[in-house]
Amino acid sequence: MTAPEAAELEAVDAALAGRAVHPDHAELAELALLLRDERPEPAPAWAAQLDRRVQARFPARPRKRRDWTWFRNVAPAIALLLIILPIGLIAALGPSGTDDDGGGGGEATTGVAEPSGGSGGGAEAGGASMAAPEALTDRSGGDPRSDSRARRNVERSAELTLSAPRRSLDRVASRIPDVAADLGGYVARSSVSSEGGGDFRLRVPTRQLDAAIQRLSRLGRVRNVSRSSLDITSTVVSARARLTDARTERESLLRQLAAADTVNETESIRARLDIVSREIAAARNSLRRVRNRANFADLGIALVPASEDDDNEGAWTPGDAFGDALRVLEVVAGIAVVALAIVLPLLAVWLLAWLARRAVMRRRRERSLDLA
Amino acid sequence: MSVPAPAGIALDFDALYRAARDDVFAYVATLLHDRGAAEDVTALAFERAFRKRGKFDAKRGSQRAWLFGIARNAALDELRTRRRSAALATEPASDAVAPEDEAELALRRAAVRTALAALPAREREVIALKFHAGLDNAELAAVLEISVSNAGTRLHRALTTLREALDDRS
Repeated sequence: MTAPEAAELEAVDAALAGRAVHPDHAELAELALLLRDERPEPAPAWAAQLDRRVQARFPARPRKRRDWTWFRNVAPAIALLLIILPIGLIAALGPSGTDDDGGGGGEATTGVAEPSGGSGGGAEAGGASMAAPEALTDRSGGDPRSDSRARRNVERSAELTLSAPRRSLDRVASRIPDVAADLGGYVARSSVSSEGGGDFRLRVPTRQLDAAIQRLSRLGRVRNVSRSSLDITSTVVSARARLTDARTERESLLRQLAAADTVNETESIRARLDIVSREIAAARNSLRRVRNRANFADLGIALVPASEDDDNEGAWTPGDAFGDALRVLEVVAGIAVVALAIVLPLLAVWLLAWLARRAVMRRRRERSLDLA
Repeated sequence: MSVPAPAGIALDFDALYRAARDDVFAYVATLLHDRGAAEDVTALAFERAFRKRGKFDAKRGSQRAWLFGIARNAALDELRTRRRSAALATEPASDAVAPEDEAELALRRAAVRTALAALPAREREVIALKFHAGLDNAELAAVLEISVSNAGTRLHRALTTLREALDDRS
Protein backbone atom coordinates (compact mmCIF):
# COMPACT_ATOMS: atom_id res chain seq x y z
CA MET A 1 0.00 0.00 0.00
CA THR A 2 1.43 3.37 -1.05
CA ALA A 3 1.63 6.45 1.15
CA PRO A 4 -1.18 8.32 -0.64
CA GLU A 5 -3.37 5.26 -0.26
CA ALA A 6 -2.58 5.07 3.42
CA ALA A 7 -3.33 8.79 3.78
CA GLU A 8 -6.70 8.33 2.11
CA LEU A 9 -7.59 5.45 4.38
CA GLU A 10 -6.61 7.53 7.39
CA ALA A 11 -8.90 10.26 6.13
CA VAL A 12 -11.71 7.72 5.86
CA ASP A 13 -11.12 6.60 9.44
CA ALA A 14 -11.01 10.21 10.60
CA ALA A 15 -14.29 10.98 8.86
CA LEU A 16 -15.98 7.94 10.35
CA ALA A 17 -14.68 8.94 13.75
CA GLY A 18 -15.99 12.50 13.33
CA ARG A 19 -12.59 14.10 13.21
CA ALA A 20 -11.50 16.87 10.85
CA VAL A 21 -10.22 15.81 7.44
CA HIS A 22 -7.78 17.56 5.16
CA PRO A 23 -9.59 19.44 2.38
CA ASP A 24 -7.84 17.27 -0.23
CA HIS A 25 -9.76 14.30 1.15
CA ALA A 26 -13.06 16.04 1.71
CA GLU A 27 -14.76 14.26 -1.15
CA LEU A 28 -13.56 10.89 0.13
CA ALA A 29 -14.69 11.73 3.64
CA GLU A 30 -18.12 12.60 2.34
CA LEU A 31 -18.27 9.30 0.49
CA ALA A 32 -17.32 7.46 3.68
CA LEU A 33 -20.15 9.11 5.58
CA LEU A 34 -22.59 8.43 2.79
CA LEU A 35 -21.57 4.79 2.77
CA ARG A 36 -22.03 4.58 6.51
CA ASP A 37 -25.45 6.12 6.19
CA GLU A 38 -26.37 3.48 3.62
CA ARG A 39 -26.01 0.79 6.22
CA PRO A 40 -29.05 -1.51 6.17
CA GLU A 41 -30.88 -1.60 9.46
CA PRO A 42 -32.71 -4.69 10.67
CA ALA A 43 -36.45 -4.68 10.97
CA PRO A 44 -37.50 -4.18 14.60
CA ALA A 45 -39.78 -7.22 14.48
CA TRP A 46 -36.98 -9.48 13.31
CA ALA A 47 -34.57 -7.99 15.86
CA ALA A 48 -37.08 -8.62 18.64
CA GLN A 49 -37.59 -12.18 17.47
CA LEU A 50 -33.85 -12.84 17.39
CA ASP A 51 -33.53 -11.32 20.85
CA ARG A 52 -36.07 -13.82 22.10
CA ARG A 53 -34.25 -16.70 20.47
CA VAL A 54 -30.99 -15.61 22.06
CA GLN A 55 -32.67 -15.34 25.43
CA ALA A 56 -34.07 -18.83 24.94
CA ARG A 57 -30.60 -20.04 23.98
CA PHE A 58 -31.57 -20.95 20.45
CA PRO A 59 -34.18 -23.65 20.99
CA ALA A 60 -34.24 -26.41 18.41
CA ARG A 61 -35.82 -25.36 15.20
CA PRO A 62 -38.87 -27.20 14.01
CA ARG A 63 -37.02 -27.95 10.79
CA LYS A 64 -36.69 -31.64 10.16
CA ARG A 65 -33.19 -32.89 10.60
CA ARG A 66 -31.72 -36.24 9.95
CA ASP A 67 -31.76 -38.38 13.03
CA TRP A 68 -28.29 -39.65 13.85
CA THR A 69 -29.05 -40.74 17.37
CA TRP A 70 -29.07 -44.39 16.35
CA PHE A 71 -25.56 -43.98 15.00
CA ARG A 72 -24.40 -42.26 18.16
CA ASN A 73 -25.78 -45.19 20.14
CA VAL A 74 -24.03 -47.86 18.14
CA ALA A 75 -20.86 -45.91 17.36
CA PRO A 76 -19.00 -47.13 20.48
CA ALA A 77 -19.93 -50.72 19.72
CA ILE A 78 -18.77 -50.35 16.12
CA ALA A 79 -15.51 -48.77 17.23
CA LEU A 80 -14.96 -51.56 19.75
CA LEU A 81 -15.71 -54.15 17.10
CA LEU A 82 -13.27 -52.53 14.70
CA ILE A 83 -10.58 -52.79 17.33
CA ILE A 84 -11.39 -56.25 18.66
CA LEU A 85 -12.04 -57.94 15.32
CA PRO A 86 -8.54 -57.50 13.89
CA ILE A 87 -7.02 -58.41 17.24
CA GLY A 88 -9.08 -61.59 17.31
CA LEU A 89 -8.11 -62.38 13.75
CA ILE A 90 -4.47 -61.84 14.52
CA ALA A 91 -4.76 -64.00 17.62
CA ALA A 92 -6.54 -66.70 15.64
CA LEU A 93 -4.21 -66.68 12.65
CA GLY A 94 -0.99 -65.90 14.43
CA PRO A 95 1.49 -68.42 15.73
CA SER A 96 0.34 -70.13 18.90
CA GLY A 97 2.61 -69.90 21.87
CA THR A 98 3.96 -72.87 23.78
CA ASP A 99 2.30 -73.94 26.94
CA ASP A 100 4.75 -74.53 29.66
CA ASP A 101 2.61 -75.94 32.37
CA GLY A 102 2.79 -79.51 31.27
CA GLY A 103 1.03 -82.38 32.88
CA GLY A 104 -2.28 -81.70 31.30
CA GLY A 105 -4.09 -84.08 29.13
CA GLY A 106 -5.05 -83.31 25.64
CA GLU A 107 -7.34 -84.10 22.81
CA ALA A 108 -6.57 -87.33 21.10
CA THR A 109 -7.46 -88.39 17.65
CA THR A 110 -6.42 -91.60 16.18
CA GLY A 111 -5.83 -92.84 12.71
CA VAL A 112 -4.25 -96.12 13.45
CA ALA A 113 -4.10 -98.44 10.49
CA GLU A 114 -6.72 -96.34 8.81
CA PRO A 115 -6.76 -94.95 5.31
CA SER A 116 -4.18 -92.57 4.07
CA GLY A 117 -3.35 -89.22 5.52
CA GLY A 118 -0.98 -90.49 8.09
CA SER A 119 -1.65 -90.65 11.72
CA GLY A 120 -3.84 -88.15 13.32
CA GLY A 121 -1.77 -87.76 16.41
CA GLY A 122 -3.23 -84.67 17.89
CA ALA A 123 -2.47 -85.27 21.50
CA GLU A 124 -1.24 -82.11 23.06
CA ALA A 125 0.57 -83.13 26.14
CA GLY A 126 1.62 -80.13 28.11
CA GLY A 127 4.75 -78.42 27.04
CA ALA A 128 6.14 -81.38 25.29
CA SER A 129 7.77 -80.99 21.96
CA MET A 130 6.44 -83.40 19.47
CA ALA A 131 7.99 -85.01 16.48
CA ALA A 132 6.06 -84.63 13.26
CA PRO A 133 3.98 -87.75 12.90
CA GLU A 134 4.65 -88.33 9.27
CA ALA A 135 3.88 -91.74 7.91
CA LEU A 136 6.86 -93.21 6.17
CA THR A 137 6.56 -96.04 3.73
CA ASP A 138 8.22 -99.30 4.52
CA ARG A 139 10.29 -99.79 1.41
CA SER A 140 11.65 -103.15 2.41
CA GLY A 141 9.85 -105.75 0.37
CA GLY A 142 7.23 -103.35 -0.93
CA ASP A 143 4.59 -104.38 -3.35
CA PRO A 144 3.51 -102.01 -6.13
CA ARG A 145 -0.05 -103.23 -5.75
CA SER A 146 -0.15 -101.84 -2.25
CA ASP A 147 -0.01 -98.20 -3.39
CA SER A 148 -3.55 -98.21 -4.66
CA ARG A 149 -5.02 -99.60 -1.50
CA ALA A 150 -7.43 -97.36 0.29
CA ARG A 151 -7.02 -99.02 3.64
CA ARG A 152 -3.50 -98.48 4.82
CA ASN A 153 -1.54 -100.39 7.39
CA VAL A 154 0.45 -97.99 9.51
CA GLU A 155 2.90 -98.89 12.20
CA ARG A 156 2.93 -96.28 14.90
CA SER A 157 5.19 -95.65 17.82
CA ALA A 158 5.71 -92.97 20.40
CA GLU A 159 8.21 -91.96 23.00
CA LEU A 160 7.10 -90.24 26.16
CA THR A 161 9.26 -88.71 28.82
CA LEU A 162 7.50 -88.24 32.13
CA SER A 163 8.82 -86.61 35.24
CA ALA A 164 7.47 -87.08 38.71
CA PRO A 165 8.64 -86.17 42.20
CA ARG A 166 11.02 -88.73 43.63
CA ARG A 167 8.54 -89.67 46.29
CA SER A 168 5.97 -90.43 43.60
CA LEU A 169 8.15 -92.41 41.22
CA ASP A 170 7.06 -95.79 42.54
CA ARG A 171 3.41 -94.87 42.44
CA VAL A 172 3.68 -93.62 38.87
CA ALA A 173 5.72 -96.64 37.82
CA SER A 174 3.12 -98.96 39.25
CA ARG A 175 0.31 -97.28 37.39
CA ILE A 176 1.88 -97.46 33.97
CA PRO A 177 1.19 -101.19 33.51
CA ASP A 178 -2.38 -100.57 34.69
CA VAL A 179 -2.88 -98.02 31.99
CA ALA A 180 -1.48 -100.41 29.40
CA ALA A 181 -3.74 -103.20 30.59
CA ASP A 182 -6.81 -101.00 30.69
CA LEU A 183 -6.31 -100.15 27.06
CA GLY A 184 -5.76 -103.71 25.97
CA GLY A 185 -1.98 -103.51 25.87
CA TYR A 186 0.86 -104.87 27.89
CA VAL A 187 4.30 -104.04 29.17
CA ALA A 188 6.84 -105.56 26.84
CA ARG A 189 9.83 -104.49 28.84
CA SER A 190 10.43 -102.43 31.96
CA SER A 191 13.24 -101.32 34.16
CA VAL A 192 12.43 -99.31 37.29
CA SER A 193 14.35 -98.00 40.26
CA SER A 194 12.86 -96.01 43.13
CA GLU A 195 15.56 -93.31 42.85
CA GLY A 196 16.24 -92.95 39.20
CA GLY A 197 12.88 -93.65 37.64
CA GLY A 198 12.67 -96.21 34.90
CA ASP A 199 12.05 -97.17 31.33
CA PHE A 200 9.01 -98.90 29.97
CA ARG A 201 8.28 -100.37 26.60
CA LEU A 202 4.55 -100.83 26.16
CA ARG A 203 2.65 -102.47 23.40
CA VAL A 204 -0.81 -100.99 23.10
CA PRO A 205 -3.44 -101.34 20.43
CA THR A 206 -2.64 -98.79 17.79
CA ARG A 207 -6.11 -97.31 18.05
CA GLN A 208 -5.48 -96.69 21.75
CA LEU A 209 -2.08 -95.06 21.36
CA ASP A 210 -3.33 -91.50 21.73
CA ALA A 211 -5.54 -92.46 24.62
CA ALA A 212 -2.56 -94.13 26.26
CA ILE A 213 -0.42 -91.04 25.85
CA GLN A 214 -3.22 -88.92 27.20
CA ARG A 215 -3.71 -91.08 30.28
CA LEU A 216 -0.03 -91.50 30.93
CA SER A 217 0.46 -87.74 30.65
CA ARG A 218 -1.76 -87.33 33.67
CA LEU A 219 0.53 -89.41 35.80
CA GLY A 220 3.33 -86.84 35.78
CA ARG A 221 4.74 -83.83 34.04
CA VAL A 222 5.34 -84.41 30.37
CA ARG A 223 8.86 -83.46 29.44
CA ASN A 224 8.74 -84.68 25.90
CA VAL A 225 6.56 -86.67 23.60
CA SER A 226 7.43 -87.75 20.11
CA ARG A 227 5.54 -89.82 17.63
CA SER A 228 6.41 -91.62 14.49
CA SER A 229 4.55 -93.69 12.00
CA LEU A 230 5.50 -95.98 9.17
CA ASP A 231 3.30 -97.12 6.35
CA ILE A 232 3.74 -100.89 6.12
CA THR A 233 0.90 -101.61 3.75
CA SER A 234 3.29 -102.89 1.12
CA THR A 235 4.84 -105.29 3.61
CA VAL A 236 1.43 -106.63 4.58
CA VAL A 237 0.44 -107.05 0.96
CA SER A 238 3.68 -108.86 0.19
CA ALA A 239 3.29 -111.21 3.15
CA ARG A 240 -0.27 -111.98 2.20
CA ALA A 241 0.76 -112.58 -1.40
CA ARG A 242 3.46 -115.03 -0.32
CA LEU A 243 0.96 -116.92 1.80
CA THR A 244 -1.57 -117.03 -1.02
CA ASP A 245 1.06 -118.22 -3.48
CA ALA A 246 2.20 -120.97 -1.13
CA ARG A 247 -1.35 -122.16 -0.55
CA THR A 248 -2.03 -122.18 -4.27
CA GLU A 249 1.11 -124.26 -4.79
CA ARG A 250 0.09 -126.69 -2.07
CA GLU A 251 -3.32 -127.20 -3.66
CA SER A 252 -1.63 -127.81 -6.95
CA LEU A 253 0.74 -130.34 -5.36
CA LEU A 254 -2.16 -132.09 -3.68
CA ARG A 255 -3.87 -132.45 -7.02
CA GLN A 256 -0.61 -133.79 -8.50
CA LEU A 257 -0.29 -136.20 -5.59
CA ALA A 258 -3.74 -137.54 -6.19
CA ALA A 259 -2.86 -138.14 -9.79
CA ALA A 260 0.59 -139.62 -9.13
CA ASP A 261 1.11 -143.14 -10.51
CA THR A 262 4.57 -144.10 -9.36
CA VAL A 263 6.19 -144.31 -5.96
CA ASN A 264 8.99 -142.02 -7.00
CA GLU A 265 6.60 -139.42 -8.22
CA THR A 266 4.62 -139.67 -5.02
CA GLU A 267 7.74 -139.32 -2.88
CA SER A 268 8.90 -136.31 -4.84
CA ILE A 269 5.55 -134.57 -4.49
CA ARG A 270 5.38 -135.31 -0.77
CA ALA A 271 8.84 -133.80 -0.31
CA ARG A 272 7.78 -130.73 -2.19
CA LEU A 273 4.58 -130.56 -0.09
CA ASP A 274 6.64 -130.56 3.10
CA ILE A 275 8.66 -127.65 1.82
CA VAL A 276 5.56 -125.75 0.76
CA SER A 277 3.91 -126.44 4.12
CA ARG A 278 6.88 -124.93 5.87
CA GLU A 279 6.71 -121.97 3.51
CA ILE A 280 3.02 -121.57 4.33
CA ALA A 281 3.76 -121.62 8.03
CA ALA A 282 6.53 -119.10 7.59
CA ALA A 283 4.35 -116.87 5.43
CA ARG A 284 1.53 -117.07 7.94
CA ASN A 285 3.87 -116.12 10.77
CA SER A 286 5.27 -113.30 8.70
CA LEU A 287 1.82 -112.00 7.96
CA ARG A 288 0.86 -112.28 11.61
CA ARG A 289 3.95 -110.38 12.66
CA VAL A 290 3.47 -107.62 10.19
CA ARG A 291 -0.20 -107.32 11.11
CA ASN A 292 0.81 -107.17 14.72
CA ARG A 293 3.09 -104.28 13.87
CA ALA A 294 0.11 -102.44 12.49
CA ASN A 295 -2.31 -103.44 15.22
CA PHE A 296 -0.06 -102.73 18.17
CA ALA A 297 1.93 -99.59 18.67
CA ASP A 298 5.22 -99.39 20.45
CA LEU A 299 5.13 -96.89 23.28
CA GLY A 300 8.36 -96.08 25.08
CA ILE A 301 8.15 -94.31 28.40
CA ALA A 302 11.05 -92.75 30.23
CA LEU A 303 10.14 -91.99 33.82
CA VAL A 304 12.53 -89.49 35.36
CA PRO A 305 12.67 -87.75 38.74
CA ALA A 306 11.32 -84.23 38.70
CA SER A 307 13.76 -81.33 38.97
CA GLU A 308 13.54 -78.67 41.65
CA ASP A 309 11.55 -76.40 39.38
CA ASP A 310 9.07 -79.17 38.83
CA ASP A 311 8.85 -79.79 42.56
CA ASN A 312 7.88 -76.16 43.03
CA GLU A 313 5.07 -76.55 40.60
CA GLY A 314 1.85 -75.33 42.10
CA ALA A 315 3.42 -72.92 44.54
CA TRP A 316 2.69 -69.41 43.36
CA THR A 317 5.73 -67.41 44.35
CA PRO A 318 6.30 -63.64 44.21
CA GLY A 319 8.50 -64.34 41.22
CA ASP A 320 5.58 -66.00 39.52
CA ALA A 321 3.42 -63.02 40.41
CA PHE A 322 5.97 -60.67 38.90
CA GLY A 323 6.16 -62.80 35.79
CA ASP A 324 2.39 -62.90 35.51
CA ALA A 325 2.18 -59.16 35.97
CA LEU A 326 4.80 -58.69 33.29
CA ARG A 327 2.90 -60.98 30.99
CA VAL A 328 -0.31 -59.03 31.57
CA LEU A 329 1.50 -55.80 30.79
CA GLU A 330 2.91 -57.36 27.64
CA VAL A 331 -0.54 -58.41 26.51
CA VAL A 332 -1.99 -54.99 27.29
CA ALA A 333 0.86 -53.31 25.45
CA GLY A 334 0.37 -55.66 22.53
CA ILE A 335 -3.32 -54.87 22.36
CA ALA A 336 -2.53 -51.17 22.57
CA VAL A 337 -0.02 -51.45 19.74
CA VAL A 338 -2.49 -53.34 17.57
CA ALA A 339 -5.22 -50.86 18.40
CA LEU A 340 -2.91 -47.99 17.55
CA ALA A 341 -1.95 -49.68 14.33
CA ILE A 342 -5.61 -49.65 13.43
CA VAL A 343 -6.60 -46.31 14.85
CA LEU A 344 -3.65 -44.21 13.71
CA PRO A 345 -4.08 -44.81 9.97
CA LEU A 346 -7.81 -44.21 10.34
CA LEU A 347 -7.06 -41.03 12.24
CA ALA A 348 -4.59 -39.93 9.58
CA VAL A 349 -7.13 -40.61 6.84
CA TRP A 350 -9.80 -38.75 8.78
CA LEU A 351 -7.44 -35.81 9.34
CA LEU A 352 -6.50 -35.64 5.67
CA ALA A 353 -10.14 -35.86 4.68
CA TRP A 354 -11.02 -33.13 7.15
CA LEU A 355 -8.25 -30.86 5.87
CA ALA A 356 -9.20 -31.53 2.27
CA ARG A 357 -12.86 -30.86 3.00
CA ARG A 358 -11.97 -27.65 4.76
CA ALA A 359 -9.79 -26.49 1.85
CA VAL A 360 -12.46 -27.39 -0.69
CA MET A 361 -15.13 -25.67 1.36
CA ARG A 362 -13.06 -22.52 1.67
CA ARG A 363 -12.32 -22.51 -2.03
CA ARG A 364 -15.98 -22.96 -2.87
CA ARG A 365 -16.96 -20.15 -0.54
CA GLU A 366 -14.44 -17.78 -2.05
CA ARG A 367 -15.55 -18.82 -5.52
CA SER A 368 -19.15 -18.12 -4.64
CA LEU A 369 -18.09 -14.58 -3.81
CA ASP A 370 -16.59 -14.17 -7.26
CA LEU A 371 -19.67 -15.61 -8.93
CA ALA A 372 -22.13 -13.49 -6.97
CA MET B 1 -28.32 -12.31 30.69
CA SER B 2 -24.94 -13.98 30.66
CA VAL B 3 -23.93 -17.19 29.02
CA PRO B 4 -21.79 -19.57 31.05
CA ALA B 5 -18.73 -19.97 28.87
CA PRO B 6 -16.39 -22.91 29.15
CA ALA B 7 -13.65 -22.56 31.70
CA GLY B 8 -10.68 -20.43 30.73
CA ILE B 9 -12.43 -18.66 27.87
CA ALA B 10 -13.98 -15.31 28.59
CA LEU B 11 -16.62 -14.84 25.99
CA ASP B 12 -19.63 -12.76 26.94
CA PHE B 13 -21.91 -13.93 24.22
CA ASP B 14 -24.80 -11.68 25.22
CA ALA B 15 -22.65 -8.58 25.23
CA LEU B 16 -21.24 -9.56 21.89
CA TYR B 17 -24.71 -10.15 20.53
CA ARG B 18 -25.99 -6.81 21.74
CA ALA B 19 -23.00 -4.98 20.33
CA ALA B 20 -22.85 -6.73 16.99
CA ARG B 21 -26.37 -7.78 16.03
CA ASP B 22 -27.11 -4.83 13.78
CA ASP B 23 -23.56 -4.73 12.43
CA VAL B 24 -23.69 -8.37 11.40
CA PHE B 25 -27.05 -7.86 9.79
CA ALA B 26 -25.82 -4.79 7.90
CA TYR B 27 -22.76 -6.62 6.61
CA VAL B 28 -24.71 -9.72 5.53
CA ALA B 29 -27.50 -7.67 3.95
CA THR B 30 -25.03 -5.64 1.92
CA LEU B 31 -23.21 -8.74 0.82
CA LEU B 32 -26.27 -10.80 -0.06
CA HIS B 33 -28.46 -8.03 -1.44
CA ASP B 34 -31.37 -9.78 0.17
CA ARG B 35 -32.88 -8.60 3.41
CA GLY B 36 -34.83 -11.79 4.09
CA ALA B 37 -31.81 -13.98 3.49
CA ALA B 38 -29.72 -11.61 5.58
CA GLU B 39 -32.07 -12.06 8.51
CA ASP B 40 -31.84 -15.85 8.24
CA VAL B 41 -28.08 -15.83 7.82
CA THR B 42 -27.57 -13.42 10.70
CA ALA B 43 -29.68 -15.56 13.00
CA LEU B 44 -27.81 -18.65 11.84
CA ALA B 45 -24.48 -16.94 12.42
CA PHE B 46 -25.38 -16.05 15.99
CA GLU B 47 -26.67 -19.54 16.64
CA ARG B 48 -23.43 -21.03 15.31
CA ALA B 49 -21.44 -18.59 17.40
CA PHE B 50 -23.42 -19.58 20.46
CA ARG B 51 -22.82 -23.27 19.81
CA LYS B 52 -19.12 -22.73 19.10
CA ARG B 53 -18.49 -20.21 21.84
CA GLY B 54 -16.28 -22.73 23.62
CA LYS B 55 -13.91 -22.76 20.68
CA PHE B 56 -13.26 -19.03 20.72
CA ASP B 57 -9.58 -18.33 21.18
CA ALA B 58 -8.73 -14.78 22.17
CA LYS B 59 -5.18 -15.25 20.92
CA ARG B 60 -6.41 -15.59 17.37
CA GLY B 61 -8.35 -12.35 17.21
CA SER B 62 -11.06 -10.24 18.73
CA GLN B 63 -14.54 -11.50 19.51
CA ARG B 64 -15.97 -9.32 16.75
CA ALA B 65 -13.54 -10.66 14.18
CA TRP B 66 -14.38 -14.22 15.27
CA LEU B 67 -18.10 -13.52 15.03
CA PHE B 68 -17.82 -11.88 11.62
CA GLY B 69 -15.76 -14.84 10.41
CA ILE B 70 -18.66 -17.09 11.29
CA ALA B 71 -21.12 -14.71 9.69
CA ARG B 72 -19.02 -14.52 6.56
CA ASN B 73 -18.93 -18.30 6.20
CA ALA B 74 -22.68 -18.47 6.66
CA ALA B 75 -23.22 -15.72 4.11
CA LEU B 76 -20.89 -17.34 1.57
CA ASP B 77 -22.68 -20.65 2.10
CA GLU B 78 -25.91 -18.87 1.36
CA LEU B 79 -24.39 -17.34 -1.76
CA ARG B 80 -23.10 -20.72 -2.81
CA THR B 81 -26.38 -22.49 -2.37
CA ARG B 82 -28.66 -20.08 -4.04
CA ARG B 83 -26.30 -18.57 -6.63
CA ARG B 84 -28.67 -15.85 -7.34
CA SER B 85 -28.84 -12.28 -6.36
CA ALA B 86 -31.98 -10.66 -5.27
CA ALA B 87 -32.49 -6.97 -5.31
CA LEU B 88 -31.68 -5.37 -2.03
CA ALA B 89 -34.85 -4.45 -0.32
CA THR B 90 -34.05 -0.95 0.63
CA GLU B 91 -35.66 1.12 3.21
CA PRO B 92 -38.79 2.69 1.81
CA ALA B 93 -38.12 6.21 0.58
CA SER B 94 -39.63 9.00 2.55
CA ASP B 95 -42.70 10.48 1.00
CA ALA B 96 -41.99 13.86 2.50
CA VAL B 97 -40.91 16.52 0.06
CA ALA B 98 -37.32 17.38 0.78
CA PRO B 99 -35.95 20.84 0.60
CA GLU B 100 -33.51 21.73 -2.17
CA ASP B 101 -30.32 20.82 -0.28
CA GLU B 102 -31.85 17.65 1.08
CA ALA B 103 -32.92 16.65 -2.41
CA GLU B 104 -29.33 17.03 -3.55
CA LEU B 105 -28.19 14.81 -0.67
CA ALA B 106 -30.84 12.23 -1.47
CA LEU B 107 -29.64 12.09 -5.04
CA ARG B 108 -26.09 11.53 -3.92
CA ARG B 109 -27.20 8.80 -1.55
CA ALA B 110 -29.12 7.10 -4.31
CA ALA B 111 -26.08 7.27 -6.53
CA VAL B 112 -23.91 5.77 -3.80
CA ARG B 113 -26.49 3.05 -3.21
CA THR B 114 -26.61 2.18 -6.88
CA ALA B 115 -22.85 2.20 -7.26
CA LEU B 116 -22.46 0.04 -4.19
CA ALA B 117 -24.96 -2.46 -5.50
CA ALA B 118 -23.07 -2.62 -8.78
CA LEU B 119 -19.74 -3.35 -7.11
CA PRO B 120 -18.30 -6.85 -7.43
CA ALA B 121 -19.22 -8.92 -4.40
CA ARG B 122 -15.65 -9.15 -3.19
CA GLU B 123 -15.28 -5.36 -3.09
CA ARG B 124 -18.78 -4.85 -1.80
CA GLU B 125 -17.92 -7.16 1.07
CA VAL B 126 -14.93 -5.03 2.08
CA ILE B 127 -17.08 -1.89 1.99
CA ALA B 128 -19.75 -3.64 4.06
CA LEU B 129 -17.26 -4.79 6.68
CA LYS B 130 -15.70 -1.36 6.93
CA PHE B 131 -18.62 1.05 6.69
CA HIS B 132 -21.65 -1.03 7.67
CA ALA B 133 -20.18 -3.39 10.24
CA GLY B 134 -17.75 -0.82 11.58
CA LEU B 135 -14.70 -3.03 11.67
CA ASP B 136 -11.28 -1.50 11.81
CA ASN B 137 -8.62 -2.60 9.35
CA ALA B 138 -7.13 -5.18 11.70
CA GLU B 139 -10.50 -6.83 12.31
CA LEU B 140 -11.24 -6.66 8.61
CA ALA B 141 -7.98 -8.46 7.91
CA ALA B 142 -8.79 -11.11 10.52
CA VAL B 143 -12.22 -11.77 9.05
CA LEU B 144 -10.87 -12.08 5.52
CA GLU B 145 -7.85 -14.04 6.79
CA ILE B 146 -5.39 -11.74 5.05
CA SER B 147 -2.72 -9.34 6.28
CA VAL B 148 -3.64 -5.87 7.52
CA SER B 149 -1.69 -4.29 4.68
CA ASN B 150 -3.53 -6.43 2.16
CA ALA B 151 -6.81 -5.55 3.80
CA GLY B 152 -5.96 -1.84 3.43
CA THR B 153 -5.10 -2.35 -0.20
CA ARG B 154 -8.37 -4.14 -0.85
CA LEU B 155 -10.32 -1.44 0.92
CA HIS B 156 -8.64 1.33 -1.05
CA ARG B 157 -9.23 -0.52 -4.30
CA ALA B 158 -12.92 -0.94 -3.47
CA LEU B 159 -13.21 2.76 -2.64
CA THR B 160 -11.46 3.68 -5.87
CA THR B 161 -13.82 1.48 -7.87
CA LEU B 162 -16.76 3.05 -6.10
CA ARG B 163 -15.51 6.58 -6.72
CA GLU B 164 -14.93 5.80 -10.38
CA ALA B 165 -18.44 4.44 -10.65
CA LEU B 166 -19.84 7.56 -9.03
CA ASP B 167 -17.78 9.77 -11.34
CA ASP B 168 -19.10 7.88 -14.34
CA ARG B 169 -22.65 8.47 -13.18
CA SER B 170 -22.25 12.17 -12.49
